[in-house]
Amino acid sequence: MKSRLVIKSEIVSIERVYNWIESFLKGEVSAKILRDILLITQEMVTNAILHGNREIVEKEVIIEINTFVDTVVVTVTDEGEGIERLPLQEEAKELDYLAENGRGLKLAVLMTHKIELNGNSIKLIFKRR
Amino acid sequence: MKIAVKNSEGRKKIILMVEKFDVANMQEIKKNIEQEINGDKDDVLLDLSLVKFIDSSGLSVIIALFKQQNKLKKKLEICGLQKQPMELLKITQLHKIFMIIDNCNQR
Repeated sequence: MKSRLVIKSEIVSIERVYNWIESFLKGEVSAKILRDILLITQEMVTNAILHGNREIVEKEVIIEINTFVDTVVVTVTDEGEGIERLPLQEEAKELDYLAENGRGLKLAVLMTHKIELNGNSIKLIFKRR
Repeated sequence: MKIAVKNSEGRKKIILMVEKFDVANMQEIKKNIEQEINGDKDDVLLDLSLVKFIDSSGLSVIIALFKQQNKLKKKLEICGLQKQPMELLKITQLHKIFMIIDNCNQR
């Protein structure tokens, strides 16, 4: 099963992404996995809008979901230059508890089964169980 | 207003009136809370009973409030945590730092 959503780079679109994922995956994965996918995808789409596309409304963010037997793969692509690298597991675990920013990518590293960076595209792999 | 406030002696209860507390409404909620506190030196009980989902932007507002209360040497307690908000506090280790209580109605 797969689905694709294209949004403009405005924060109000976040709600649409949430509702789309929820209706596409409800019943396909456990409630806990769905909560994780909703959170991490929202974090990555927020980064794509704010940092990748710098809130230039005309620029698009593409979100794709593919479900496989054991995994759910979510890909988020923006029109930015991409980030240099992902935090390492060890770096992600060393969360600065009270920092007010910079948590999204670390959460993505901690809460996915696997995460891959490919230029301006990020692939999030979640185990279905 | 996306918050409701109940004042009792020395304590302000701030109830978030949203299901999602995230990047889409964090600025407005932050402003609502700041206006409500406005220099008051009360303990704060943050009631999250209605909130099903928090992202890192919503979390940053709670962290800012926590720091503000610490500076004033006043308490911030959080109550009514549903599953996802509690999971987020656990993975970020903030459950060890914040004062979390189960019952929003206890004094």
